[in-house]
Amino acid sequence: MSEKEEIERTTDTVTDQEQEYAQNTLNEYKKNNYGGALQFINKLDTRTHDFKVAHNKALVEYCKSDFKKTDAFQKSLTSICNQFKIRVEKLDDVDQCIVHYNQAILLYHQRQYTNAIYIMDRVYKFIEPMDDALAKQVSLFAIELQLCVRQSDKAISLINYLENHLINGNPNIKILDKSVKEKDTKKTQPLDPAMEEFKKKLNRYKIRCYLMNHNLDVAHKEISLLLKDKQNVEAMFLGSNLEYLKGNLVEAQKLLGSVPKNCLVYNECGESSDVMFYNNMGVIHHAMGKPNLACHYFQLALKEDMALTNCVKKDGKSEEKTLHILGGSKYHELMYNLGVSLLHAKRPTQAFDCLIIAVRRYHRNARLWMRLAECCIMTTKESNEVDFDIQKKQKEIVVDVIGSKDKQKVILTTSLSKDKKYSTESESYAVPVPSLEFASLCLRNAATLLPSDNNTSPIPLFLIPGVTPPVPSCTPGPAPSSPMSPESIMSLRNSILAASAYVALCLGDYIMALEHAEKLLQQPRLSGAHKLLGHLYCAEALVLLDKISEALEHLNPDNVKHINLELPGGEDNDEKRIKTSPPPKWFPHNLATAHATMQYNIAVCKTIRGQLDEAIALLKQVWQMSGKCKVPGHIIMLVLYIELKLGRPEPARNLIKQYLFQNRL
Amino acid sequence: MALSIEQCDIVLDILDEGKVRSHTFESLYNELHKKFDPADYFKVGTFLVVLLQQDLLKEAEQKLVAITLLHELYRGEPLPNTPFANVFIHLLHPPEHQSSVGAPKLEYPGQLPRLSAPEKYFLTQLLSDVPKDAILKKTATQVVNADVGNFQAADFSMIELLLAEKQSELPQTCKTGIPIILSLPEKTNNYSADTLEYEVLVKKIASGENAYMNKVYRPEFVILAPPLLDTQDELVWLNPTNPQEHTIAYDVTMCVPDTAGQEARQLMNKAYKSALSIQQQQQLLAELESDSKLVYHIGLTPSKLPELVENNPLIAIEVLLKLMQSKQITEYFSVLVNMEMSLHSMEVVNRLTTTVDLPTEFVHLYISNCISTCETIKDRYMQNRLVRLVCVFLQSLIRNKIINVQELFIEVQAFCIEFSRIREAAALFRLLKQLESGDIGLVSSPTINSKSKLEG
Repeated sequence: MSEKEEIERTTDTVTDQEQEYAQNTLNEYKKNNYGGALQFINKLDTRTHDFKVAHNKALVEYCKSDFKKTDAFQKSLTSICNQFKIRVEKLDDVDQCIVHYNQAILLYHQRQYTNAIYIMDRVYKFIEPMDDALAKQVSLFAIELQLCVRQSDKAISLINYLENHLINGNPNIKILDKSVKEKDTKKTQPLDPAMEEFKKKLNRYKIRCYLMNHNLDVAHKEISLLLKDKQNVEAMFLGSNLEYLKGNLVEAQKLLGSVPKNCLVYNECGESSDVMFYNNMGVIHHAMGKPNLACHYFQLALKEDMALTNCVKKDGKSEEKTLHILGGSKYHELMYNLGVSLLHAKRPTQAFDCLIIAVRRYHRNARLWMRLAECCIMTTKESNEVDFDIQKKQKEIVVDVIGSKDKQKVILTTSLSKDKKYSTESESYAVPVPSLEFASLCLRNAATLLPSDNNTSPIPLFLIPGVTPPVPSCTPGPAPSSPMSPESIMSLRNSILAASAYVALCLGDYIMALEHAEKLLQQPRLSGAHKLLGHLYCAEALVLLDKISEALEHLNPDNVKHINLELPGGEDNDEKRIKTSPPPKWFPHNLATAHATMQYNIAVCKTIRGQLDEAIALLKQVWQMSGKCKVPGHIIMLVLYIELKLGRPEPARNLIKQYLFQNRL
Repeated sequence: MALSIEQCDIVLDILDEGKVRSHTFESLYNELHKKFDPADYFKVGTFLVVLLQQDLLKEAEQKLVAITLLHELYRGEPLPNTPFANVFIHLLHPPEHQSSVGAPKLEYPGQLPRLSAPEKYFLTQLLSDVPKDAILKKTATQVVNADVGNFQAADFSMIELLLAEKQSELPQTCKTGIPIILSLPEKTNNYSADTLEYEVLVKKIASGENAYMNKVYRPEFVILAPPLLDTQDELVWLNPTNPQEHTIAYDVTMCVPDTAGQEARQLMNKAYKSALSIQQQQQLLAELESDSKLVYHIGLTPSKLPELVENNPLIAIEVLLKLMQSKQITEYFSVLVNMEMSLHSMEVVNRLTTTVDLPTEFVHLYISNCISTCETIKDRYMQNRLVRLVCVFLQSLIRNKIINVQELFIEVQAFCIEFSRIREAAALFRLLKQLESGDIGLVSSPTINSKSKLEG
């Protein structure tokens, strides 16, 4: 603020008349008589230099429109800021906070959380000088914003601060000098109702944080208290959420079922209990391993959500929505849930269509990108089981029979596996279709967005004066899901590496495949399945790099002792008690099949090297395992190949006649 | 990458049974040369090889013409550079027929026909580095029926070596392909003589987008796709959030005169410009004391802090202490640490360090700032004064255990050495040495490394 303004400010006098108008305006405003308020405030028009008048006038006009002319209000606020040179980057006066706060509120209802947080981070610095009512409003809002972007840790620290300052009134800064003060330890007075209400709200935020942080014990205590009130709908939802997180799915379903239908009406509350109910039912069924039923519920939720948000639109133009229902649609969250469930229901292309919608909003979510990649992979290969169906693979060996009599020829397949797709066409990878090319792009995004091991680097405390820090860069976020535990991040990293190696192999990029696979094997904690995959991928990439001996080392069956899908080890912590993932399914189901696969691949290596007799011997061993477990369906084709290479076409011809023609006829 | 049906017809026509008997190699080659673009030679060559491999040429003369044409396609180029060089070596040195006596006949995938002695002789001549006009003037029939006796096989070992070298450069996976076309003759005695059927067969093999003749089978790995990510609490659970609770706020302070802090604010305005009288100071401090929120309303901003520190350090200390809980305190600190070093600023920092827990980074930064100010100042007198101040300040910090010297050891020691002419600096240096040797149990000694660096 320049010298001149400062003088102007200190010398600015308010006449008694003006004070009276202002008081009248406030009184009418409190009575929700916005027309009356507007009449009074118009009398203050002479105070053109007073941005508070301009601000309140715009606000009252907005209220008078039943909170519908949001765009107009937003524009007035912007122009007031321009006119009075109020900039959020240079915020240094508590009086200016309210303008910014109102802008942030509008952004919040428009679901622009990052922008709202950017503003509120600055406004929040003035929480101490603010008057009590505003301070409470601002702090609750700041907490809600952090929860919107699923930064529960930040929300918790805000809550702690509030409890220490606004409620208890003890500063938590250590004062060494005892003389400074000790006098305002006025003993606890009975709380006034407003404070009581504020504490209640704060408590609800706390519970949401605990649930998000998976701090189940504390959440349990608080929720049981709330649930004593049998009518408390919010407590029912929270309680059901808690049971769901614990894996008590039936209990969760029961509690959710007790929520009365349509108790939160969208047009009044800005959210619909029915949408929440259907969605949460879907979430519970997904965890039960019933993805199809889950999809059904998500679709119901989507239908309801669309009906609510669209019917609002029909009332008039889109800008005519009341503020609190502007951003009430849960479309993207529901699409995300539906997409993941469809993926588990083995409907990858539909899942892809849903998730590609979700990722438009949640493009900083590493796990979501990973899910998209999984859709692409599953679209090209539904299950590994196809490679172990000997009957089916037999039929695929011969693709055509041409000519006749002495000139009869059979045409063999060029490949039995369908994974590989070496494309020479230079098509763009960025086309959002469920292809392996797009998968590699998704995986790159996922890897980039993955939270790093060491927690976020501390922001340097002291900065060069006069230089405002830039807008925080887009940090990877878990939204719309809860924050991931270090364990989940670890397993996500492993999965990204495994998928990246697989996709690179399929696309013929064996150098990258090797890099990813080796990195996978270096991870500190690795599930048995990922270990198996890491070795298999390394081996294949090495063969393609003409390093067959190294490949053979990877294929040693002793490398893989089990094929569990969970991360091994880890201490017992809260995270272990979270049981929300559907029962995992993967082929191969048992170690024997995994070993058969490794041995078959050894036989391939030996064949490539020209050690045909050894290869045949190995294949015989694998074939003998076929009584006990599934073995790769490629065996017959490899035997056929080896016989041909050995210059013995007769056994090969006999094989073909034996397996193929009987199937054809 | 395959021939069109018409192109197949042309090649088949050139290789027609009657035609190969009556026409010279030269004229057949000329016909081929006329009808094909050099860009298509490779396709034609592949086609000829497939015809040979799949035993689709009935007569010896046809085979011979095919071989000759294959060679002449790349007329004028050195043999090892041509794509089909290996075919000729194979023709000259066919693999063993039988592994041992009585064993079944061996037959390898993509095997080429066996040549008779006159044919081999002809091929030798063709491959040799001699003018070929004479031999190409012959017809295939003449060659096949010629009597060559026991000819001396020419030596192509150089070429073979070159080719083998080229092969060894390729990765092994590239060399594993076998043709996907496999003969499976039906057991029957009547041989097909239907030329129409024959042509259909040949064209199926050689033409079209995915012509079989271009395809190979290689041993395949079984590759497993990874399992779906197993993760917790992924799907979005919806709880009520009461969005309508967050609503806009009316500014109740509109037109409410800010009388409470009026006087304090005026005093502050003065305090930025000049030192206040004792009485004024007391009045300001008393007002600030009476209302704990007043400190936020006296118009102080971080940018004004340096002026306040320079003119009224006591006020600055009190105000900062009151602002300790403020979210803005780091901004004030940041300004304080970066402002020009002076007696007053040092006084403020010193008071703060003894009163509240200051962030370590802040203190360290301030010390660095002091040291560099001392080093850069031009005025010798001022410099001595400042150095003394800094030394006393540092001693006080160290003795009060406010800083851990170890973290600043190198910097502080260098500072002492640079200004060793000043008594206070020497004293500080001694204090450091005592700390290092453990005489004073404040800190452990620094590493040998840093010591040698200092002394070296």
